Amino acid sequence: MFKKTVVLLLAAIVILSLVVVLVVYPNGRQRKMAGNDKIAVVYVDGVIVGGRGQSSLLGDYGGTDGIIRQLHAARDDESVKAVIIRINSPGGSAPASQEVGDEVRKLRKAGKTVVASMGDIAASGGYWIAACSDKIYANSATLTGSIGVYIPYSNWEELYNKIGIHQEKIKSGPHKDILSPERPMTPEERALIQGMVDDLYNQFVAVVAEGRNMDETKVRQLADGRIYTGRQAQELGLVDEMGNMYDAIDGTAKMAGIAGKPDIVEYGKMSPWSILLGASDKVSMEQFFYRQLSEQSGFLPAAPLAAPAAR
Amino acid sequence: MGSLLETVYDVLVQPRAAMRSIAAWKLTGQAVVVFFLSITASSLMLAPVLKNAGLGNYIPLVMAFYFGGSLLSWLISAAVLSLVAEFFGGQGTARGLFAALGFARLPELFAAPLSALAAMAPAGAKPFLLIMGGVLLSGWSLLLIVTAIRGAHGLSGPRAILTLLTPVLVVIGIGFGLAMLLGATILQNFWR
Repeated sequence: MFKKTVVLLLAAIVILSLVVVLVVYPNGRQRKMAGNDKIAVVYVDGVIVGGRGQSSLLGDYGGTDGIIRQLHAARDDESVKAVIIRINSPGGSAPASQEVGDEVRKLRKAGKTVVASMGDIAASGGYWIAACSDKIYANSATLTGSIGVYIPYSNWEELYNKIGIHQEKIKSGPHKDILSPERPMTPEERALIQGMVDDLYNQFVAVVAEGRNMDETKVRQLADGRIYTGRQAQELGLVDEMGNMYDAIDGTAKMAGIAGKPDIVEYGKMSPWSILLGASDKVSMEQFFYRQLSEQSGFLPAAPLAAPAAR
Repeated sequence: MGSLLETVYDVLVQPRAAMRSIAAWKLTGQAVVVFFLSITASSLMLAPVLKNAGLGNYIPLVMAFYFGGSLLSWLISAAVLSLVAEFFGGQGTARGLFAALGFARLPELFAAPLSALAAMAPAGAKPFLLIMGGVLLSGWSLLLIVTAIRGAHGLSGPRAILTLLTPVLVVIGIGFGLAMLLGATILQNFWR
């Protein structure tokens, strides 16, 4: 009887300890930490692609699904008063950039301050996202701008003739094989694609005009596709402040009314296993162009992580 | 042999006699219960650690691996240690050792009270408590493993320790040998 009592007492201590460690203590810690206002940092790195991006053994990285999940986590976290979107991207897919931009707007509507901080490069789709924020910080040497859209097309007909390849397509409609590389584009097809490009461009211009509080006419003058340095962009009204990420953090804290040094929280940290085994999404202009070329021509293989540039 | 609670008490208070009885009676059923309770408690302690590291999504996977790995390790260690014990003159059964080794995991249950104490301690004392507590629990666990080998195979203390160390030394020896071989092969090809 004595033995059973002792063991049961020990078991009760163990169970109580488990409850303390798993339930009581984390809730108490959360309540304490909830009192600290935080700034969330969400990273947009590399080429912007929609969906889950690149898959690895332990997860999916680099796609906008992950970025949007982080924005939602910041929105749902009451202790997060502001979000900094750290952009280091040459751009990418227009719909993917649009999805993230829309989520940034929703986050602002939910009452959170959103600030964009540009890194080495925040161009094209990267600028699309930045334009949706409350304020944009950039370094004076940051490359930004590239406000515009293109759909690349390659004509491999001559090469095919030289090596004796003859491709044919049996198609359901005249435009099903539009952008096919084995034949020249017809004027009608060119007009169709131009129409698409113009529509996407108009959407981009509207986003920048609304986000930067700028007249569309002025935006169109700046949006001829050229890139700007951060300093040039500031002079033209495309960027608000010069500064690095820490300047952005200080400025964001002031905007959000956070006193003192704010706590920073990052969602979507890569685990060590993912870093070892997963995909890498470093910024690379060469990879960006190679990827564009491979996707549109359908001829080149998909860009591996360290592909040489297609010149 | 008494009930599970009595067996647990005996392991805590009189481990040598208890392990001898456990091995003799082959209390495998009781050992499995103790094993699963210990593993469950220690794997639950992993959950907040993983969550804080941003790996909350991987908790079920990690826990499944932990369970599976621990079970496999229990089975394999019982088999290997029983074989090695026989080489050192031990007389017992693998099943008896298997049961005894199950009870050797009892210290893992006390990781929860240790963590609870550390959680409530001042920030400066936390690391000290956790490290010292961890060392004590690990030492206690090792002691119970050695006692299990002694009890199951009737070996002396030094022989039981040697039984425990032999597989480790063999693996280190094989690893060292392979490294030497690989190094020699590489050097030979490099210098050609």
